[in-house]
Amino acid sequence: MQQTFLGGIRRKLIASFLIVALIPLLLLAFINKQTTENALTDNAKQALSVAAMETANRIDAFIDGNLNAVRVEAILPGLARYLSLTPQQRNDSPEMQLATETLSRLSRKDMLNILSYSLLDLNGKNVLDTDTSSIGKDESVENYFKQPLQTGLSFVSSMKRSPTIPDLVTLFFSSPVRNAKGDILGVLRVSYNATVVQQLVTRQTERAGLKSFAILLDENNIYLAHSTEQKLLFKSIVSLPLDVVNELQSKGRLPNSPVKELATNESTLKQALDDKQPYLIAPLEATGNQINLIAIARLQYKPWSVLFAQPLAVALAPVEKQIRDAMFLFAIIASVVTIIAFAIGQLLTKPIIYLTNIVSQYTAGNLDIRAEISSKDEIGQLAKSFNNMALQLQTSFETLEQQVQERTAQSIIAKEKAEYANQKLEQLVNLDGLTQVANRRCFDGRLQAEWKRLAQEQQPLSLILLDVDKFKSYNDYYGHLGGDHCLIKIGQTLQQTVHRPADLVARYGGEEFSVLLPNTDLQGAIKVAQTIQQAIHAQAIPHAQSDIKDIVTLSLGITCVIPNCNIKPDTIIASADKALYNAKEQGRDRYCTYLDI
Amino acid sequence: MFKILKYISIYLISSYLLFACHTWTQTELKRPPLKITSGYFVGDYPAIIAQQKGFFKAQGVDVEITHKRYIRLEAANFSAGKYDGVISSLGSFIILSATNPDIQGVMVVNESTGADVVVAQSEIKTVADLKGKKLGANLGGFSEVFVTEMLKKANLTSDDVNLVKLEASEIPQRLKNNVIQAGHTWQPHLSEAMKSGGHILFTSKQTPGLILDLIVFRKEIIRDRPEDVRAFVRAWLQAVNYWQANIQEGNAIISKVLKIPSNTTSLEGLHLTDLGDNQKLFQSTNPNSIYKTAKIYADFFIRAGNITRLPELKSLFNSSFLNPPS
Repeated sequence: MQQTFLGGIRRKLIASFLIVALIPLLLLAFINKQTTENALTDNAKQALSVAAMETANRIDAFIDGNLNAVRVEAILPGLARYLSLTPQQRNDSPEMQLATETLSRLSRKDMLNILSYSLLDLNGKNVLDTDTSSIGKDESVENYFKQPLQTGLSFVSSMKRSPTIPDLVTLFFSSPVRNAKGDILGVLRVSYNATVVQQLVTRQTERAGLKSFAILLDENNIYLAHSTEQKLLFKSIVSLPLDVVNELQSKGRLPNSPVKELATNESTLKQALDDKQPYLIAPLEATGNQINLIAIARLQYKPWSVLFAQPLAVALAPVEKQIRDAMFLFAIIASVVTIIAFAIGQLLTKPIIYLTNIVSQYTAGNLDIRAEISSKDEIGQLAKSFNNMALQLQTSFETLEQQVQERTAQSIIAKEKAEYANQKLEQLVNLDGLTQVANRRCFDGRLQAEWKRLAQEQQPLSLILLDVDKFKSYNDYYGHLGGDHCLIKIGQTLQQTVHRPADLVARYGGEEFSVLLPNTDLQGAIKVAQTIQQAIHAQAIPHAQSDIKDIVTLSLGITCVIPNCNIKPDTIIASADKALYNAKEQGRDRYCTYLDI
Repeated sequence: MFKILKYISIYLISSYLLFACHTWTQTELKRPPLKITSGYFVGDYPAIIAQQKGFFKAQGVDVEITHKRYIRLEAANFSAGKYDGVISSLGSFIILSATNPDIQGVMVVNESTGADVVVAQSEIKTVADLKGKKLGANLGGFSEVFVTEMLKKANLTSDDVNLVKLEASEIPQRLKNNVIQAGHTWQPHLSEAMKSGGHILFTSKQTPGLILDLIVFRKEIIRDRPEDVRAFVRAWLQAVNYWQANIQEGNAIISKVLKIPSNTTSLEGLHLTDLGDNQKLFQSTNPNSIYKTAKIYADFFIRAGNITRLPELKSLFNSSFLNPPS
């Protein structure tokens, strides 16, 4: 009970300390997290957006630069001169040599990415090509042939998969070849390895941030470049209508694989592209469904989009670190606060426990115990108050006890007095006032009791009746005072002669005494009678008027009986009386016995 | 009392754990394999042997080799960052370096000592006879440098002939059709051209150290995974030694992997460079030093208008991986 209560104080302290210390920390961490997340997202957005814009600009610059280049290259004199010849004139002509050399020199512009330079005549026939295997091909259906003829301007094609070389994607630039008059004679076309564009897309990713990746989509939202997932190339982000698929397949812009393999499922992205959103936070199924932060930029010269994406988790990685730090701090503060709260709890509860112990000891009865006052704070005051209270209680308790003792002593005295009075009263009732031996009343009561007891036990009861010889003449001679004195002396002598506690000497009346001897047979009674006679003789009380001797003598009548409930006790008195009469008859100063039964 | 102690210990333990989390550094991810692309060229095949014999694994590097028919396109792909390394001719390497100044050649893997030939129609007896004739070569690469060096030996220039851009595989047919009178090619196309009356006019034996292939890595790989590069080089050299000591077994491994008849694999006219050769080639005082040859290529490409910038030849090669780390 005590432990729980004190534990309660500690627990409450710890809980409140923790709440006070940790809630602000939590709130702070939460607010901080929000702010940091927003800032990081904004930063990542900006970085991605910048990278996307820059990449879009680079692709635009690449396209624009090549459009400009091919526009000028197409009007180089050697090319127009060669195309102005009839096919028959062309073969092995110096013009052909010049045109060949020109194309060959032009292809040195980018040895890595330019696949070929070629001249197409007005029928779309390939009449000269740095890739000699293509010479003679009919390319009249291709956009890069038709468009420059229609518009008179240079043209860039869409990306096309090579029909012969696997994994090769080509991009064509073309421009009309004109003579001095401005007549169009044919088309100059440059075929590029489209890797060059993919390279432009992927090059920026390192700068856009950790784990960021770039995507280039064409007008049908088909992947043209992907910096991490090459397998997505030439798949659309959502399924395209069948007629579009067929058309694109015929132009080599989609592979001839089954329709369902031609699309991924990025409908959120599609929606964002359609709505021309600059940013998007969405999962990309094709890259493991991670939530990505995506920035979208559009090209100027082509209806293509550049996307830069970064997994949101990567962008927000510092937040995770921050949370870890906060949790670490949280744990440290929690443990420190707990220790402090525990220590304070200990400090506070220790004196309380001490006081409680003192109080329980006091309650248990140790009234002298006092609390030690070790401080002047509230606990100290409490201890002081307790001590005062204890002192007052103790004092009043002690006073009370004293009063009780006094009262008890008084009542004992009163009781003793009463008992004394009672004893006195009883003495007065049972004693003979003159001789101070038992009176007749006492003798009768005792006789009755002994008679009853010895009747049950069937033990003998003896009785001696004795009479002072010639007491009438003693009275007359010595006066009544002398007589009284004589009787007192006889009573005392009798009392001294009879020793057993059950034996009773009583004044039977006048100058007659009786001696009741329970459990005593006749012989015993005779011995007692003889002893009495000798004792009286030894007293030698003078009796001048006696005709027997000159001292006081006694006549004794002895009887003994085994009591019986059917016989009245009075019979024993009668028998003793008869024996006494006989002793008197026979000359006094003697004893006689009489046995009735 | 015990409860409180329990709370405290829970807090302490959790704080220790959190502390452990705090200092926990990300376990290093398994490094991805080195992605290398190469052509179907016998000089590149030690890679196959090293792979099959487990030399790469044994040296502690995971390598993924792709063999491509159109190695010129692969140079563009390497440039676009699709591969970590490429086995490239010195010419392509110089061209690549013009747009990728951060790549480095770490080892010469083979040297043409006669495998590259200029095959000519029968009436062309000497190089000088080529004047005014059509000469087929793969323009823009080592092929053009090779034929230019050949012409130079007969005091001719490329203006004295008509250079026609052709792949080595196209040469026999064009020679037969008289589209060209001579052309640069190699086996097995050479045998085909010989069958239809061609003869050898010039071989790479006459241009020692000019035609060679290197293993080239991107700068990130050299910077971030030098031990992998070193392991790759060691495994490669191991494979070269193995092949040269066990030619039949080596050929069998190659024919099995590439599914080609083993008799088409021949090292004739080709020298697989070992550690000693490399040490010599990377020595700038050596007359055949790679730096000097690279200078020939660079000069040629500048003259021919192929490149805009002069490559920094010193930083283009890194021979430090040939030796154990110092």
